[in-house]
Amino acid sequence: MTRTELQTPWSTVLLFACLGWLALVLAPAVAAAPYADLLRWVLHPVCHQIPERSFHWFGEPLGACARCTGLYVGFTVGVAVWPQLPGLADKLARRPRWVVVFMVPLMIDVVIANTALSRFATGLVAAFPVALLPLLAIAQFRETKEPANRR
Amino acid sequence: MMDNPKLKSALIGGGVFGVLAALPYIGFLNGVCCALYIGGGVLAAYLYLKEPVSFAKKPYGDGAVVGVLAGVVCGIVATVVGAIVVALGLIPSDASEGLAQLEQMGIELPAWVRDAAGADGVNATMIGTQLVMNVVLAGIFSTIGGLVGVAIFHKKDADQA
Repeated sequence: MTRTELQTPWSTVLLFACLGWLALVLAPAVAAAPYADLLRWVLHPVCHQIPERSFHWFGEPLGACARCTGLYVGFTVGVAVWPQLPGLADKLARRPRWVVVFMVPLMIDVVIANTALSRFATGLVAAFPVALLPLLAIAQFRETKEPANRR
Repeated sequence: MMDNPKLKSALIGGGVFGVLAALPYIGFLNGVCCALYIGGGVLAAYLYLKEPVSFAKKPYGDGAVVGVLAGVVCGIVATVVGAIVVALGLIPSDASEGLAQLEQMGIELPAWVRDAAGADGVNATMIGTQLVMNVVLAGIFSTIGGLVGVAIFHKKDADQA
């Protein structure tokens, strides 16, 4: 696994898509009233959005709960950082089931008394390794396309 | 059509979890980190990996494709079953509570927003809006589910076979 295999134009597109998604999560806190509700409605199928379990910005809850925000931030950071860690990426790619191990703290946090910070942190830890998987998929698509292009 | 292992896996995975996502109470599980949409992708990837097909070249690439397909199926099924559930009166329409709150605050909403949210029951605008929303959201999260499914269930030995 090399840096160039993970850092491709499509991985940059993925990173910008993740940043766009994070902007969508932040936007309801800063948008004017009817638009904020519309943005929350767009995200409601994928998060319970309970205000008491969400981070607030400018006194308004974000479009997703603290745990989902952690998941999205972890995934975005992962997409940005994995190409800089090719050695570690190679180790995880050889033992991909380890992504489940990183989800264990999140699962434990769901059933025990938790705080906004623990929900955010366990979400971040769970999603960070998962971000390597789409980068591997992109690398594999390129691998299979390139020999065909050379012909 | 069912000879295509990707499509077959996606139809089963997306179909099962699409129905679950639309059902009252069970559908709330989607509020837990989008568990049902991700689950659809994981199930589709698991079923695809069980198929006797060559998987040597790009397991994650195939997992992503199966996940996207499962997400599209999941979104369509969730919208159709959801509309039936709302029409039968088993659960109130998606946003009727939120719309009532906005109107109590004196915010007047345009008719198309009320239609899209299904405030006055099931209608074509509501189904169209929710179809687009569900397909996009389920597509994104089921893709991740498909990739996680490959990470969990893919056997390296199958590559060497």
